[in-house]
Order: sequence, then C-alpha cells, then structure tokens
Amino acid sequence: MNATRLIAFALIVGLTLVVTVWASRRTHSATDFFAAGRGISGPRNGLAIAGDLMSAATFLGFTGLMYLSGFDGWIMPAVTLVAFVLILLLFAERMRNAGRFTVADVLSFRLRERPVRAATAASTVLVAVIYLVAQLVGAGVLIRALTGLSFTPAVVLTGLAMLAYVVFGGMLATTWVQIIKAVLLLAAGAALTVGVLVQVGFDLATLFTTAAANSPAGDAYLAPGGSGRSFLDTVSVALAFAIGTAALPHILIRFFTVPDAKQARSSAGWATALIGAFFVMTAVIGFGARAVLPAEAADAVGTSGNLAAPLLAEHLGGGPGTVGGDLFVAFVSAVAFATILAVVAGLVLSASGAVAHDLWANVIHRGRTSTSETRVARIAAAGIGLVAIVITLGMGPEFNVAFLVGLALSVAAGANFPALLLALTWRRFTTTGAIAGIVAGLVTSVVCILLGPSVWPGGAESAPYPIEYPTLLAIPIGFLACWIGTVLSAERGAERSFDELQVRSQTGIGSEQTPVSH
Amino acid sequence: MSSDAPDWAALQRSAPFQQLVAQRGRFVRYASAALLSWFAIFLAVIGAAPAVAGTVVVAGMTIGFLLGLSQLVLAWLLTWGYLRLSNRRWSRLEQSVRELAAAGAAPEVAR
Repeated sequence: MNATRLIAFALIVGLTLVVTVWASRRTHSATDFFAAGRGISGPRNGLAIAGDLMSAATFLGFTGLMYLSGFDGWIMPAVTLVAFVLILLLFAERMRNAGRFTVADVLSFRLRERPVRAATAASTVLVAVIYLVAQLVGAGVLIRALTGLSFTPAVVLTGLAMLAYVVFGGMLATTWVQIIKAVLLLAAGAALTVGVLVQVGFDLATLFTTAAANSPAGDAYLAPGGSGRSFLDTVSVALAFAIGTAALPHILIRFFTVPDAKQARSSAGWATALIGAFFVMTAVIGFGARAVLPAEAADAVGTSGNLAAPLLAEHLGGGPGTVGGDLFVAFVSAVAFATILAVVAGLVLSASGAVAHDLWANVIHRGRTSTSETRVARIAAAGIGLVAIVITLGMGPEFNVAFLVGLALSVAAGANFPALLLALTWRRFTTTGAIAGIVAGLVTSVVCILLGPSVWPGGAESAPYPIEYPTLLAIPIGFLACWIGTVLSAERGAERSFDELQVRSQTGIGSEQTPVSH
Repeated sequence: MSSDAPDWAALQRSAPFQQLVAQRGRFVRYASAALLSWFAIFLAVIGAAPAVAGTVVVAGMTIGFLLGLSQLVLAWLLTWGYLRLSNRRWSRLEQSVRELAAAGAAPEVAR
C-alpha cells in the first residue's frame, strides 16, 4: 500500500463529503434534487459539463492510447469536440427551454407521453448503468494499481462515496464535486504539460521526434495504424465519440441546472473551450510520456496504457522513491480518483431521474402522485448504484470494459440522438417514429455487440459483425426507423403541438423559471 | 392548457419568430455541415491516405495530427460564432417574440 496516495485519496473523499453535507441542506424540492435549483451559472455549469466528459477514460485512457499507439490515440480526442458543437447548435438552449428534469421531458412534449417517456427512460437507464459498470470496473483496477488497495474494497468505497453524493446532495452536490474535480484535473493536466514542455525545451519538434524515436514503431508512430484498428473500426469509434457523446443523458441533463437559455449556451461554450484545451494538453502528455519516460517504463504502463500519465508525473517529480515524484504521482492519482467519483455520481443521478420523474411519476402515476419525486429519486439512486456495484463485483477486475463503453455510446448515438433531434426539428415526426427509432437503435447496438469481436467466440476473424463499436450500423438504422415509423403511422396530433414546441424551445416562453428563493 | 395560453400558431407565424428561425436555422445548417464535412475529411484522409497523414509538415507534427488539431480549432470558431450571433441578434428577436406573447400574440400586432 502507498501511504501518500491513500492520504491524498482520503483528502478528496473528505472534501467532497463536506460539499455533500453543504448541498444536502440546500436540497428540498424536486427542482433542487434534479436541477440544483436551476441556480448554477453558465461558466460553472460549463466546468461541470467539461468534468462529465473528462473522465478517467479520457484523461488516463486517451493519454495512454497516445503513449501506446501514437497518432491513432489522437483520433478520439480530436473528434469528440464535434459532439459539443452539436450540443450547442441543436440541444443546449432547447433542452433548457422545453424540459424540466430529463431528456424524456423534451421528447414527450409533443409526442404521446407515456410510451415515449417509457422508451426514453429505458434507454437512459441502460446507457447510465452500462457506463457506470464500465467506470466502476475501471475505478477498481485503477485504484488497485495506484494504491495497492484490492479490487473489492476499492469498488465498494468508490460506490459508497458516489451514493452519498447523489442520495444526500442531489444535483447540487454532484455539480460541485464535478466542478472541483474539473479544476483539479485541468490543474494536473497543465502541470504535466508544462513539465513535458520543460523537458523538451519548449520545442514541439523535439517532443514528436523523440517520441517517435523512443517508440518501437519509429516514424510510423506518428502515422495512422499504430493501434492495429481497421478503417471501419476507426470510423465507428469516431462516430461513437462525435455523435454518441452529444446524446449522453448525464451530459444533457446538465442544461437543466442553469437559470435560462442564455446561461445554457454559455455553459456549452465554456465546455467546448475547456475540453478543447484539455485535449491539447492530453496530446502533449500522451506523446510526451513516450518522449520523456525511459524505455523500461513501457512494462509498467501496461497494455491499457492507463498508467502512462501517473508514471509521467512520478518521473517529472524527480523519479520513483523521491519525495517530489511521490507527491506528484499522489496528486495525479487523487485527481484521477476524483474524476471517477464525479462521473459515476452524474451517471447515477441521470438514471434516478429517468426512474423517478419519467417512469414512476409520469408513466405509472400519470403525473398524479402524492409521494414526492425526490424521495423516489433518492431510493432509485440507491437501488441503481447498489445494482451497479454488485454487477461490477460479479464481473471482477479482469472484465473487458472497452466494449461496455462502446455499447453505451452506441445506444446514445443510435437510440437517443435521432429521436431527440427529430422531435425538436421535424414537424411530421410521430410517437411511432420515436419509439421505432429508440428501439431499433438500442436493439442494433446490443445485437452488434453480441455478434461483434468483443463477445463472439473467436474474435474479429469469425465474428459476424467484425467491428468493435456498433455505431456504424446503429446511427443509420436509428434514423431510418424514426422515418419509417413516422411515415407508416396515421397520427397527426404531433404536428399541431410542433408550433408550440418550436416557439417555446427557441424563445423560452413558458420555460421553468429559477425560483426566487428556496 | 388554460384559455389564456398564447396562440402558438400565431406566434410561430409572427415576423420576429420567422426571422429568428430563418437566421439561426441557416447558421445551424451551415455550421453542422462544415463540422461534419471536416470530420469526414479527417477520417477519409486517415483511411485513404495514411502515408499522407503520416507526413511531417512543421515542428514534428504530421498532416494527420494537424488535421485532428484543426477539428478542435473549427469547433472553437463555430462555438464563438454561434455565441456572438446569439448575443448580438438572436436574443433580441427572442425578446420580440416574448413581448408579442405577453401582448396577446396576434401576428398583426405592430412591433
């Protein structure tokens, strides 16, 4: 066990729990619980959105992939910002104007409420739980590697902290944990970036040339092909990050926490600026780890590449066994831990909203229930969190989580994205179309994963769908099913309320205002 | 829905709303097209011409790396443009529509 790192982890947990206690005293109504009382400012929400995206998978994963496969690792960070521009252009202001707590609010505005809510809530819960399990398995493995704590206690501790934030502190605690984490992560990224730049004498040519020279691939390290992915695999992965990210429920619900549409678009703007800056830093860190770390480090980095950034921190701080190295790696590890905590909390909150606000209050009780939504949401959050913890422990540390991330992003891209986009923009769109699109996108994603190289016995050679990510099929099929379902249905009511949705979503007339006090 | 609810169809037809939808819609269409085309070009170069993508042009950076970096720059530029137009033009049009709604929302009402 590493004492410095465990103390750093304990400090993170302590600080976030203080935030949770503070937030729990301010969380009373459903608007407080799901939307932080709509009192988060644009720049703060932008930081929180950036925090949602900058998960351990993007910080440690992307830098590790650049360390391992050079250019191929750079493709994902380069395309992910597409998703945030799409969010700004298509969703940010409209979500804030037309919705209250969940993505399904926006869809059910003009479509028949109960079936659309049920379908959207189901896909939201599915995306959240799959993503949650992927994050928790990653958390257990990472904490084990960083501190020596074994997998089970690491997962249980992470899970309990996550439940505490959400159940007691709701969206306010989740948002502030995310903001704190985002600031720490940007600071850690900046420190590593400056460290690398000092080592290469602030000369980018030296950075890339040394990285290529140190890599077994040589000059090919800076060219496509380092990861061994096929071209169709690259396209599927790129589509998952560029389109799927734009429809991740835990990111979209952040737009409900701001006072108005102006703050919603400002938060999307801040998020784009911060995430882009972060990705530029990950490039310096990832290629820099290859340029700066000694050749022996390759074994310690491992096949996933996840330890490239922490090892780089240790090296820049003075090397293994030095006080500086120990402190710097403890800081970077604690930030990675904070990242995991914040992201899993956001996921649990999005799933609990879908269960309590969509399924419980509006599908089962048709909007007439005396039980408070907040109470149901707290219970749902605890239930979803516990289920995810149990699944994670059952799967164990050896489980391959990469395909779970692929599945979650693919369901978001194939099921959520087409239905949400068309509900907001296509006058003729109908309930049947929305349900057809959601179901088709979801089923295609699951089937492609089952028939794909990650699950099918024998791998890519014998798998009927030889591509790792289902997005290449799921996105076109999702849109096609939305269209076919719409053309085939006789429903016309949705066209009338389209005017109302248009006016409301684009001007904010009648949108939920920020309570003056609470 | 209450009886004093705004006349949505009338608001939808009103001049400021039509202007808003036309102007903002045009920006959104062009910006999305630019964004997705540049994304497609990036992937096409990687797939069709990996050797070109691997050519170093400046400061150790390859064409592929710079194309990737340009995705981020384009995202920043489009975001900046959208926010600027929102604050300068579209929020004023939004305000006009909200005033129409408050005034009773007949499309013929002079602004």
